[in-house]
Amino acid sequence: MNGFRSMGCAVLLPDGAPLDEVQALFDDRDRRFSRFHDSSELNRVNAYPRGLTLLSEEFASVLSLALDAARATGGLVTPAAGGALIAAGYDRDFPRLPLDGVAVEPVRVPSFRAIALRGRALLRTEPVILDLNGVVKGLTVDDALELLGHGWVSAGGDVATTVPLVVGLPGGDAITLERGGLATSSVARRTWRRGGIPQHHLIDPATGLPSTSPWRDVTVAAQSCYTADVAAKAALLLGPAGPSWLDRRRLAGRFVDHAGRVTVSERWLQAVPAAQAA
Amino acid sequence: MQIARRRLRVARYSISAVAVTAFGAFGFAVRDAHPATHTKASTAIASSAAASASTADSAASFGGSAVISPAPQFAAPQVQSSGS
Repeated sequence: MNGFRSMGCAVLLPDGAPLDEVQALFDDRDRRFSRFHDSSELNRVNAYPRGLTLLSEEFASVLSLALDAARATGGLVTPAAGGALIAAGYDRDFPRLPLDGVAVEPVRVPSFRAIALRGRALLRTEPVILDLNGVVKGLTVDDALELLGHGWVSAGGDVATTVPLVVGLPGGDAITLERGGLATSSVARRTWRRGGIPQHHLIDPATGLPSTSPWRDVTVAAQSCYTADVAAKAALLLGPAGPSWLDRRRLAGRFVDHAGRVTVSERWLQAVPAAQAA
Repeated sequence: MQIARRRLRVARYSISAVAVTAFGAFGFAVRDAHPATHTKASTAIASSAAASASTADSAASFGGSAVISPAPQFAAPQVQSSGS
C-alpha cells in the first residue's frame, strides 16, 4: 500500500498504482475547491457571493453535482452552507483552528434554489457563500479510481473499489466492500468549541448550526463514493429518520450513536446479517 | 404614496423576472458556444459528472448498490472508514 496526503487527509492506493497521476488529481482539486487556499477558484467565486459569475468548466461540473446532491437530499447536503460553516468557526484550515472562541450566532443557510447554473454561468439571486466539501472528496475518489481503471482508492475513509477490500468501520467492526463506494460521515472528528460548545463541520440547514443528530458516525455503501458520501451526510443530518431514508433508496447504511450503539438499515442487515449485534 | 410603493414593487418584480429570463437565455447561449458542448469531454471529472448526475437527480434513482459482505473472520482491515 502506498499513499500521500491531500485535502487534509491520507490518500491510500494499492502497491504499484500510479501515485503521481492520482496525487496530481487530488492536489488540483484541492487547489481549486479549498476554502483555505487564498488563490482557489472557490475563494474567487465567494469573493462576490451574489449575481453572475463565469466558472471554469471543472468548477461548473462539480457545482452541478453539488446541486444534484442538494436536490436528491431535499436541500440537506447543500453547497450553500459555506456562510454558516464559517460562522460556526471553521474559518481556516483545521490544524490552525483555535480550540475555542466566541459563541456562535446562527447564520441562515440560503436555499440551494438561490443558485442557478447554466453551463459555466452561475447566478446567485441572494448572497451565497459556496462550500463544495460535501461532494469534492467523494467525487475525486471516484475519478481517481477511474484513472487507475482497477483496484481501489481511499481518502480519509472515503473508499471506492473494483476489487474486494476489507474496510474497518467506526467502533471496530469491519466489512468487505466487494465493489462500489463506501463513505463515513462523522461528527466525532474535526471538532472544536465556540463559547465552550462543541462544533463540527456538518451544518443543519434548518438551524444554520452544526447538527445535533443522535448519530455520531454514519457509513453508507453505494454505487459510487460520491453517492455514498452524500447519502451518509444526509442520513446523519436526518437523525432518527436516517435509516428509513436509506431504506427507501435501497442503500446500505450503518449508524453509530453517541453511546457507541449500532443500528443498520435493512439493506445492510441483508448483506451483513451479524451487523445488528455488533 | 401607496400607489408609488405599489409601482415600485411591481417594477422590482419586473426587473427580477427579466433578469432571471435573461440569465436563462444567456446560460443557454454560453453553453451552446462552449467547446465542451460540442466535443467529447475527456477529463475524469466530466465523465464522472455525467455518470453521477443521472443517478442523483431524484430520490428514486439516488440509490444504487455497492456490494458488501461480512469481512472474513480475523481479517485485518486494509483501510479504515472512520469518517470525515
